[in-house]
Amino acid sequence: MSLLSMMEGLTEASVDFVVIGGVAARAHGSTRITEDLDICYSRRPENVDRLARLLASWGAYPRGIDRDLPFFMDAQTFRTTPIMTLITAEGALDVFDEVKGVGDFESVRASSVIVDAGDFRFRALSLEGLLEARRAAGRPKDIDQIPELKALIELSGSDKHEKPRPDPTE
Amino acid sequence: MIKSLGQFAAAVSAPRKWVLNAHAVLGLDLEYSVERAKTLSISRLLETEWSIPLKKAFDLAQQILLLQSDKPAWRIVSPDGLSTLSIDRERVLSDFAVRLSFALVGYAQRRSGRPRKNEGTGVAAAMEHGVDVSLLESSLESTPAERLRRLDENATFVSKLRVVRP
Repeated sequence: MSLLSMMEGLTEASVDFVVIGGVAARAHGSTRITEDLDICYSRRPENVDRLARLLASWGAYPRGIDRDLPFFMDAQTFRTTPIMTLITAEGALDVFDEVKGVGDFESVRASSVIVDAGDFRFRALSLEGLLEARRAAGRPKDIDQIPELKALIELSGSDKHEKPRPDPTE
Repeated sequence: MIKSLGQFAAAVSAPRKWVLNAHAVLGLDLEYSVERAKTLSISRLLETEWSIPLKKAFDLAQQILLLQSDKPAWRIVSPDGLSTLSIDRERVLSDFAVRLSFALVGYAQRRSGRPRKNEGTGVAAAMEHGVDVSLLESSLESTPAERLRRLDENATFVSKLRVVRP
């Protein structure tokens, strides 16, 4: 059970996703700790099926509530409630079909970079994308992170630091 | 559990104004309970999808919630027998579970007021804001894989601390 094993599981299941939020910021150099993984997923039916099957196998259930309500982890639930905050056997996972300030999945993907996590690679929202998302979300905790993201943009502009790279195929 | 009107409205999946109006129309005191949110959530579904007046929708929602879970579908036939309204109670409650979770875990009020015109730029503004830039520089010395591994270790450590806390 870990953030990395969740991302690896999503990658192995061929889910088309982009990591957004705190984990993406961390990949870019942020020092903040986050305990949940936020992803934006493609709404293509076959992708939603793959994601729903994987999350069902992880026993996903809405996070922070008593387990006295029924819950279906399937494609129909993704159609009616595309944003979910979940707890799974692998950890806490939030899923979004779009990112405020950036746009739908295609826009998020276009604004993403590839991150090499060692044993696998995944897509993460760029620092500029994260900055726009934080501005658009506008919650105190989002606004609070803006100075750090702007500093990272300036610092990572230097060639001496290793950084995630844009997808060369695009 | 539910602490604010914004959270309550998110659980109901309705604008805050609708929630306030609904309480007034139904003659109810404002109450941020899960049961009230559940009932209003179904009432709103009936009102918006089927144009059922709110008072009637609220009565029907209470009937639907009293249904035993071994009878997941709730049906009502019109007096002339020509039409039937069927509600998949389990699905409706599953959707409510997702919205309630988001309201409790993910909902937060936006910061009020106009955004600052000048957020400042880069490192200098971050230092002024209290960001320890030396930590950022140190983090950037490592590879993304190393940063993520460290995050993973920290997150696992924090979750273990939470488990042993009485």
